[in-house]
Amino acid sequence: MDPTPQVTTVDDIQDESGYKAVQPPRKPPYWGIDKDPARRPGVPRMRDPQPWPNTRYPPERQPGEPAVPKHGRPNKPFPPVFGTSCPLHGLSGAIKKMAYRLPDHKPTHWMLMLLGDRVESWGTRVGRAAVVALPIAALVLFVRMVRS
Amino acid sequence: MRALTYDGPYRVKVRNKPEPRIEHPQDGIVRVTSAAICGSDLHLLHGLIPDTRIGSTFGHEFTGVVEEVGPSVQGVGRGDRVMLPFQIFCGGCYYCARGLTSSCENTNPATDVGCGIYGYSHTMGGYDGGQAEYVRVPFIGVDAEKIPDDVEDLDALPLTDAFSTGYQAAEMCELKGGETVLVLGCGPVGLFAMWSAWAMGAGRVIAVDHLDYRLEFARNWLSVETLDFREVDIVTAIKGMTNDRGADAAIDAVGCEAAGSALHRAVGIYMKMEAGSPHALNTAIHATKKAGIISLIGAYGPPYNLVDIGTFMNKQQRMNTGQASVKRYMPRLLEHVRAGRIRPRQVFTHQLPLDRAPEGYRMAAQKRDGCIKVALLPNGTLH
Repeated sequence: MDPTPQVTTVDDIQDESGYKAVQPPRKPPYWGIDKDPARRPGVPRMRDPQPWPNTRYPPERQPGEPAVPKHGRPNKPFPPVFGTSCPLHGLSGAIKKMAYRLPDHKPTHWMLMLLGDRVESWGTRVGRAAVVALPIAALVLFVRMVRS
Repeated sequence: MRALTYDGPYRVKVRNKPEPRIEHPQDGIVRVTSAAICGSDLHLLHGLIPDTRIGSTFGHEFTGVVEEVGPSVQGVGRGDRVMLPFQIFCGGCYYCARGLTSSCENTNPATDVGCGIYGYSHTMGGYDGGQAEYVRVPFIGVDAEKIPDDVEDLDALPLTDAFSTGYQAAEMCELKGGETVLVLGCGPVGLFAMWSAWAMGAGRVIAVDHLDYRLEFARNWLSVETLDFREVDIVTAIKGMTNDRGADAAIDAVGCEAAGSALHRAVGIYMKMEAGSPHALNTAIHATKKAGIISLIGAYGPPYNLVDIGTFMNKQQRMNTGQASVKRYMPRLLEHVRAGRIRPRQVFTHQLPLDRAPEGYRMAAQKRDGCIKVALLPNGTLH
């Protein structure tokens, strides 16, 4: 018995499947230009410590209120720079604040966050619909009252 | 100013917002000249990234002109044309100093997982993004890379994420020359990963997708072999093409919205019981040879996925991962662009004014009109 496993050829695959190379693959002119790992900027992954040009370290603390609470891992320092877009508000904000009290390695942290997202999304939809629906409802009620 | 704003899952709108201001002595304000819609913006659009707040502005790939800098900024000044890595990093912390700028410790209170990213949810710091007329850029003197005069904005724009990410994906395959590299996904990151795999000496590059126009784009632009997963079982085909063993390395350039598994799409994308669909990653594990390398560059949200970790362990594979530390790749990739080895702008099948951004999102999400990548032009001018 021939122990060599039967190998599917490219032709077999082309015949029966979605193999779509319309021409044999050609190596492009730039082939191998970064073959030498020394030309690859990310090798080694962790280089010897060296600050980036124009770095002022440690950075000053940013004034103002962050839009993001610190997640709940004890001893995590609050970073000196943070985003300030769209602060937490309302019921979704309360749920997310609860989520941020938990550390980010707890799945509950993320589940509560997703719940907060859905509450915000539906709350916004209901709020926008109410802007249209409430005046119409009031008008209908008023007309009915006048007629009666 | 005009800015794209998130309106809840599947909805974005362009609205007026207050202009950003200097909030930290190392901040700068940039007038955005071009901003790309990234595949990972679609994860935000579809509500897959936790704490994506209504009213926030997306956009982590952008170029622009410096309008204003804070009192502590060195290295860039008003009027400089710059491109910004998608991550916000301080330049001096433990990770930044060692080159891993995407793990900066000083820009994100929300999680230990990663650093601040422009316009990528409050989980990634709560910074507004660049799909707007103006954007606040923390640590602008450290983070910004000046664009040479002979490089056009749209050739520089992919260096801020897609090209650097694709390059790092290929780099993480640890190629020595002659290997077979499987690239899952023919979106912009996958395409740049294919280019980079050739540049690093791959012997064979095989691309996988299910969209004919993307497979054709990959064949025409990069001379790679292509497989359509609607028509062929990928693992069987790859093993058949590689002496029954599998690819030497595989790149997952798809992430959490992978098609191809009804089960994972139902559980992960529609029911949100796992963080999106890990089907591409599971395919990579099965289609890569024993002791091969998986390069994971596709984006997955927290908290967990149903990944076939048992097979991964039994096959003695290794996985290299990580958001690209973009700043370290920019100089080398600029060299490639200036030498004419690649014209990154070719991935931009569509250029739209900012006010048509929702249309761009629909096109990118539904893969309509031959869309590979959309560039937005918030101020209507390009270099």
